[in-house]
Parts: sequence; C-alpha cells; structure tokens
Amino acid sequence: MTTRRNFLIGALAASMVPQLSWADAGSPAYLGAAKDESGQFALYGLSATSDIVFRVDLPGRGHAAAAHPTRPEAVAFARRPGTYALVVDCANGQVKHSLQAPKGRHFMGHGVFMRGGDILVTTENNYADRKGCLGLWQRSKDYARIGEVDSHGIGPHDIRMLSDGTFVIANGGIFTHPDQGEGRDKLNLDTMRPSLAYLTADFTLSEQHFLFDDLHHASIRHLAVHDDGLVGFAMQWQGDPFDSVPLIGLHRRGDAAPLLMEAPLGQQMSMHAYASSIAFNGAGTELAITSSKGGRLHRFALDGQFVGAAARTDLSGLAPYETGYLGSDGFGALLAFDPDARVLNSVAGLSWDNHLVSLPRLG
Amino acid sequence: MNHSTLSLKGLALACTIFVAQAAQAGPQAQAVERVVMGHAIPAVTLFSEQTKALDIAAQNECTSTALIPAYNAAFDAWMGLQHLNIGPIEADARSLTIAFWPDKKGMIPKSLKAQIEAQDSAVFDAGEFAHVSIASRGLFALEFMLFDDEFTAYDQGDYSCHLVQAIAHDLSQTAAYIASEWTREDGYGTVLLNAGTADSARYQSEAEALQTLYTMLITGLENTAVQRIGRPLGSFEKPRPKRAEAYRSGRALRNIILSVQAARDLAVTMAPDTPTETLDILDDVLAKAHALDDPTLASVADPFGRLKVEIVAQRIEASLGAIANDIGAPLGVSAGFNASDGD
Repeated sequence: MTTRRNFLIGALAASMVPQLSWADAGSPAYLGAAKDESGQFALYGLSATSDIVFRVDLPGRGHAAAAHPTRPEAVAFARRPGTYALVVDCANGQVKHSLQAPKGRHFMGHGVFMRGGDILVTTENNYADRKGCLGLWQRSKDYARIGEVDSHGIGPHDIRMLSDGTFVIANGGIFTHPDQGEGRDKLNLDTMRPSLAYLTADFTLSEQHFLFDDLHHASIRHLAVHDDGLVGFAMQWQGDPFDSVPLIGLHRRGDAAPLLMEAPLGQQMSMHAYASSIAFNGAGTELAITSSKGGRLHRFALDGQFVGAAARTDLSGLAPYETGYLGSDGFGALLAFDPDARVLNSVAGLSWDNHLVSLPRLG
Repeated sequence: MNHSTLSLKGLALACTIFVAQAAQAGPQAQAVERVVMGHAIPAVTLFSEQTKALDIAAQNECTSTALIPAYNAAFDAWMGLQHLNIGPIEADARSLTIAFWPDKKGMIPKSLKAQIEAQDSAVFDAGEFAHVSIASRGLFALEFMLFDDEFTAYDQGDYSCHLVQAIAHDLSQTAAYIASEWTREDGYGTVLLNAGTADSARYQSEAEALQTLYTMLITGLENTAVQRIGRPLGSFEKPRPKRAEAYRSGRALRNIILSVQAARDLAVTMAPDTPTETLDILDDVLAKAHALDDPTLASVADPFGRLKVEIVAQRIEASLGAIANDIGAPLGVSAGFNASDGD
C-alpha cells in the first residue's frame, strides 16, 4: 500500500532523476502478471526472447496491465471487481501511485494510455447507474481522476486505441454488482447485449456493432488491433460450454458487420465456448485465440479461414512474437507458436495469469 | 504409414529410455513414467485391440444383435482412455471424433439419415469416410445404428450394414493411430518420458509433463460430475434423463462407473504413496454408483432418485480435494490456474 510518506519520497525521487525510459527497466517487450510458488502475485517484464527482466510485487491477483508508451511505467489492474489499480515504476520496482475507483464503480481489468501517455483511460463498471464507463486519469497531475465518459454498453472489458487515435471498446454486456457473488455473479444474462464500440479521440460514439440475436450470449471481451486498423475480438459464450458458437471475429471500421470465424465442429467444441486472449501474429498475416478451458490455440487467416490448432494445457496469455505468437500458461511456461509450439522459458511454480501485454517496440 | 501394427519396438524403446534415466529420476519423472507405462500405454493398447475386434466382427456380421457385445467391449476400453485428452487424442479433436457427445442439436441422427438417404459412397472408401462429419463417426454414431429403433432394422448387405462397417473400421483406424502415436519411437509417450531433456521441445521440465497428466486426472473427474451426471440431472424442476451419455445403449451409469475407475487407476498409478483418502472417497463413489442400479439414469426424474445421483456427483467433487492432498501436494503439482478461473 502506498503511504503518503513513500508517495512523497517517490515524487521527490522522480523530480530529481533524469527522465527514465523503458530501457531503464531492462527493455521489456511484454508484461505479464503471475502467482509464484509462495502465492505472491507480481507483475513481470519479459524481454523480446521472454526472459524475465523485472518483477514488481502486487497485493493481489491482477488481470491485465496498461503500459506507458515511453516511460517505464505500467498500471496493473486488480481483477474484477477490484477497486484499485497500481502505477508501478518498472525501473525500480516501486509503486508510484494507487488509483482508487470512485464510489459506485470498479475497474474491469484493462486500460490504455492516450495523448502521448498523459491520460490513462480505464474500463469501469458504474454499477450504481448500471452502465459501463471509461475513467480518465491524468498522469501529469499525479494520476488524478479528471473525468469519466460513457462506454456505450454494459460491462466494458478490453479497450484499445487505433493508430489514428480512435478507441475500440469490447462491451461484454454482462452486468455484475460487487455485492452479489463477490462481484462475479452475472445478473442480466437474458437481456445482455454485447457490442463493439468505436469512440473518437474526444469520446464521441462513432460506430457500434451488435451481434445477431442468437449470439447475444457471446460476451465480447478481448481485443487485438492490427497496424492497419483491423480489429480482432474474442468472445466468451454465456451458454452451454459444448455449444459450437463463434468465439472470434474481425472488423474494420466502416464495415457493415463483423466477420465471425469458426473452426471445424470437433475443434470448435474443444474450445469449450471460451476464448481467453486474442492476438495478431507478429507478421500481421493472421490472428489467433487461446482457450484456457480447452487448452488450445486456434489460428485464423484474415479472410476468416481456420488455419490450424495447437494444444497446451491451461494456455491463456497471447501476444505477437517474432512472426508468430507468444503464449503463456498457468504452469510457468512461455511458448512460441510459429506455428509449432516451442517452450522458450519455463519457471517452475509460476502461474502466468490471463493475459500477456505487448509493449510498443521502442527505439 | 501403417497405423494398424502397434509399435512394440516403440514400447521397448520407451522402456529403455526409462531405464537410462531411472538412476537420476526424481519423484516427478518417476510419476510420469508410472503413468505412461502403467496407465496410458495399456489403455491405448486395449482400446486399439477392442476396436480392431469390433471392426473384424462388423465385417463378418454387421447386424445390431451380432455386434452389441463387441461394441460394448470397445466402449468399455474407451472409458479407460477418454480422460487422457492430450497428445494424439486431443490433436484434431480425435476425442470428439471417437465420442461425439453431448450432441445437443441432434446432429448424429440427422447426419446418419442424410448419409443413408443419399447412399453416400464414402462408406466404401476408408480414406473418404475419415472426412465425413464427426457426427457420423465414432461410438455414438454406432450407438444410433445399433440401438435406436429408427436405424437398427437393417440386414447384411444393406446400405446401413456398410455404414456400420465403415464406422467400425474408421474407429479402429483412429484407435490404431492413437496407439501408434503413443508408442512409436518419437511418439507422445517418449515425449512425456523425455520431458526436461534436450530432446523434448514440448515439455521443458518433468514438472510440466506431470502437470499435464495431473490436469487430466482432475478434469476427467470434473467432466464426469458436471457433464455425465450434471447434464441428465438438469434442475429439480426440469430433470433431463434423455441428456444422459449413452442412455440408448443403457451405458449411462456404466460410463460413470468406468470413468471413475479409470481416474482411480490413474490416481493410484501417479501417487508416490498409497493415496488413502482419495481411495476412500473414490471407492465410496463407486459403491454408491453401483447401488443406483439404474443403467440409463432414468431415476433422475424422480425426486428421491435424483438425490442419490446428486450425491455421487458431490462425492466426486469431494475427491478433488483429497487428490490435491494425496497426490498434487507431494508431487508439487496443482490444477490449471486459468482453466478454472478465467476472465
């Protein structure tokens, strides 16, 4: 927990040292949260070859992190329905700030920096008003909360920024309340209506896509963005895990409807109607989803064709790696898929959590 | 590649590898070796043999009455293996190709009917049949052909007879392939036994290999509780006996019992010492399951009947904690972190 005292020390230190860059944190290419053998949760920085370059302890299980575009600073979000997020100095391992969600809101686990890294945008559940919102925090004002805007859907989960500054938001559609089932009970499955929403850089809704009615149980959760603006989204089905339903879609702004993709029947059923993470490959020629419940990776071409599958028990995190993918599992392994699986790094006792966050390539 | 001959050479080689490593093998490597040699390879071998026998029986005499004993023997053998959804069984979703369940949309009868109506020539070509819908393949397609009144009335030489022969042959080919993949020189058995050595790209440590097998033990039992028992249980207001696995062949309870027996065998084989608490619970599960004396699980529709079935599922869930204590903790492995709790 950050006390006022060490907060001040941190602020003082920050004002005295020259501006640090990600190189000062060992030039990580990825961030990932994990639980170690002793049960301690931490945020890790991984090099481009998946070696651990830093570790910062966290007070509890994390979900994803937002990486500052230039400074060695990451915001680690508590798992839903967590109300705190920690700004971590990845160069010295110090927690610089603790963000507290305002009353009636909690974090959803994802966020993104805008305006050169000065504004942090966080996805939040405004459970008091039963709607989704985006919280805005200003880094140059010690991460003060400077406002909030509508996410245009219940249950905003992942958020990404396209290269032109447009935001894309996965509104998962599921309403939860921290007082019910520890904040994880799903309270509106009959009426849930997930959507993919595009917001301009000044947070005006520019485009929104809903799935057909028979797919209204497909909660759009996670996003991947291609350099050329193509958006991949991963879904989690809120029905029977043996239903054979699409779990991945592609959309480009302006297109009338998203392209939904499926593997052949048996492979599709093996995903247990659940996609954990999504990423484009490093070459940008295809994209893939993982399913921790099915222990699988499914790859698709950009025209929607199923390309192939790989099996790995408890596979969850996914990010671009060289020309292929980097995956992480709950048993400490980081694997390259290109397309065959190859273990790059394996730390016994470490359980990599849901996601891998890839950092922008830095000079 | 010839998939029909079981590679004993591979098996012997696997033994050699074990002997070479035994001197320095730690408890995790020893557990992996016990499971591969003492549990997995016997199971894939038996399944291959029993499906081969089913295939031969079907080519001889394809009628329902003639085939049922061989069908049951093959299904029994599958129940000793179905929880090992890894390696060649996981790849290409072979598990669902062998056992397409649950068939929520009634795809199996639809697919079979379509084939029969069209007199699809794929049944005369094993290579072609390997590409028909998985709803028309495997044990559950055969179950319809052998047990469902809509399909069983066929004679030797009818199209349906050829269809049954094609399904049986395809199944035995799949089983032979799985056995060969487990036992051949660079096969999956060797990959597990070589975990943590320079030769193994798949598993960088013995812990990873054991972790994978341990996960199969846990998910196998969870599947039985949640799917095999949970599906027919439905809710108190709306029990769903027709959702029981293999009720048409009267194997619903038998499959539950055999899946628990397979898990028990895997637990005993993996455990470094006798897993006393685990055995107490699993033996209690088996006793309670036998006592149900209800082959199709029709009793879930009755309030007292369903209570007894529910207790079996609850006891299976209770065994997971015992397994963690008896086997997971001493071997330093645990169930999947993300699989059970994603977001």
